[in-house]
Amino acid sequence: MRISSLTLSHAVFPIETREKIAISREQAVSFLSNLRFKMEIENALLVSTCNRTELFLATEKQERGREILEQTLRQWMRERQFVIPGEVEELILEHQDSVTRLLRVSSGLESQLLGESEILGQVRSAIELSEEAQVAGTVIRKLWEKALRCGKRVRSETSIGDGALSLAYGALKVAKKIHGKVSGLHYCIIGAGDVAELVLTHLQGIEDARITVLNRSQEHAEKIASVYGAAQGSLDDLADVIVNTDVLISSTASPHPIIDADLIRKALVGRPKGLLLVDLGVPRDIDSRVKDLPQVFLYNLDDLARLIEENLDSRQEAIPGAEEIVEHERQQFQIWTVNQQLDPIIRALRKSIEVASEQELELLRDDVDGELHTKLTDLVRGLLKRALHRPLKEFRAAGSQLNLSFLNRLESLSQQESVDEEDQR
Amino acid sequence: MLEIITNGVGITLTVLYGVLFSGEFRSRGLTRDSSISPWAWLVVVVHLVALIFRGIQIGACPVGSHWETLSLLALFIVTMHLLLASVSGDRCTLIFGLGLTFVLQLAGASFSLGDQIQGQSPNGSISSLHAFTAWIGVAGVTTAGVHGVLWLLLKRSIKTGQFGLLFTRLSSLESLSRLIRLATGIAAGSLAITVGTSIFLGSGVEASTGPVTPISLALMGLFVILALVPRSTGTVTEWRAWCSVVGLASVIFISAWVIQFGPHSR
Repeated sequence: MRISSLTLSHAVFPIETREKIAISREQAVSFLSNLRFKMEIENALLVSTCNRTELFLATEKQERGREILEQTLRQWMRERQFVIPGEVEELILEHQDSVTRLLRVSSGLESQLLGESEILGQVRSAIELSEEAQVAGTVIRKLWEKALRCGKRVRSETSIGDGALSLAYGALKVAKKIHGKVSGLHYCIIGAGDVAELVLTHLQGIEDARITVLNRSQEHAEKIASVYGAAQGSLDDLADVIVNTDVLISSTASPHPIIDADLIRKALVGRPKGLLLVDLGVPRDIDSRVKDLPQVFLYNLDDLARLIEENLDSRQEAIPGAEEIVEHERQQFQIWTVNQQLDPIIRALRKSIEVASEQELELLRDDVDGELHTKLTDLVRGLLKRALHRPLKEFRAAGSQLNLSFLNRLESLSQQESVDEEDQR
Repeated sequence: MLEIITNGVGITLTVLYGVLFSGEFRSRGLTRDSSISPWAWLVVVVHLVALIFRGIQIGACPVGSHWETLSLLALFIVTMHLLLASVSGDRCTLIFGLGLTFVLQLAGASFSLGDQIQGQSPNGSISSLHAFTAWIGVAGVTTAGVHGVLWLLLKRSIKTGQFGLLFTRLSSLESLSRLIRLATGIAAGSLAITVGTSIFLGSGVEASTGPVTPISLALMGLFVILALVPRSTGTVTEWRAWCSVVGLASVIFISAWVIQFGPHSR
């Protein structure tokens, strides 16, 4: 099986394009199901976050995977009305690069904020979409497992995740530049998803912080607010809450902006202090025209990433170590995939040798007594086992270095021997 | 002999302010300590003593020559910045005050000691005192102007997401807002001293016919109003910052006028 991938990420696309590319959970399941029914794909993984939409496929032939991904990209460009800066082919990776890509993504090496931890959780939950769409085949599941293992190893064995570098950290840094402090401020969090929860975790340690969680579903808001000791409300309360808010952080899955310039303009009347609006949603939750209003400071994902990039020196030093781990895990996956191909070949080889020896022993049956024949049979079996053990072990170990055409020849040879045996019988 | 010493002290002061400036530039990247180095105060005291000696040397307030005037202005500006930093506990703008002081000292050092400003020769104690207090006013408005410019630049930096030197070095809009109000208070007070002494010592001061006096009076009125308006980080501070910038532009004009034509020429 060969892995192919389509990579649409922050490295190529600005937030304006990424919000067009972003795929909701329902859309993702529907898309993956279509891959299964229309393209007969059984191994697919879609990692869709605010910073990336990456599709991984495992197909028998590399060309088949590339063809499907090209079709998919062209279809998305047409339906979602975006253009890519270069050629379609440049965004599609082949086997080795695809494997490395997913491992790097889960390790945070491809993240906008180097080493950020959110991505590991997002990769972890990506398999649920594949399971729901019934495309979580053996190969893609193994690659996903390797990616998770690699992400955990990189974070535990290197300093890439050290320091409090996150979007919430960036937002608090800007808040401090405006208000001179982060304690005693009124924070309003819109949304009750993973990102909102992460932001709330960061706000926990702030002294005298007044936090209000607003969400479309009040049930979710209540649940998350009770965990973090915050007040809660529905989105209908936004106009009232925003009047006294110092920092507003929004991270909903809404396809359209939920905060417009009029709402903010009304909230600014008679306001003595500045208002920091942080939009962590993709598509964005806050109308970008809000930025033109006086006293308003609007930040989106890209702005915060630029701010935090300046504090990445210690994490940059961890990159070589992280890349070593990625390379090790890539080799392990490669060995596993080759072994997947080698196993039937080895079984067939072993079987054919066993069958040949059994046949030869059978010819001796009339010349020796029963007891001696049994002893000879045991002897030959033991001999074969010992003689084959070491070469087959080496064969497996060298699996990743073996030429694909050589493996194919071995496979056809073993299949041929099986056919010959059946003919003889 | 005294002149050689004064010259030497003038050059030494320029070097010392350069050292203080570079030290401040380096230390602010490493520490958030708001305390002011005693060396800074020591340099200010040396500066003050040097100007007193210069006064003794010429027998009048040292405001007659370019060197004296620029050095006196530098002393006032650095003192006001140090006072602001001490009172507010935020020394993020001190580096800019030290930088300006260094530039003024350097500019002053390029003039000879006897290079007189036209019409500002201290021909009497009253006119000397008036000129002396006038430069306090210029320093006060300059300090407010520097803070106004910094507030506006930091706001622009945060608003547009430019995370350069200003974003890193300046503390916060809130803190600068407090500093700018204190600075406008200092400017209003120093202008009041300037105008008050000219009225009080009116009989001894040359009749004013040029633009300097009306501009000074207008500035005093403006800064008194600014000092009385309550503090906020919103539009009020924005207005205060812009008015401070206007004040700074005005004192640059006045200073250029005084150096070129004398304080009260038409």
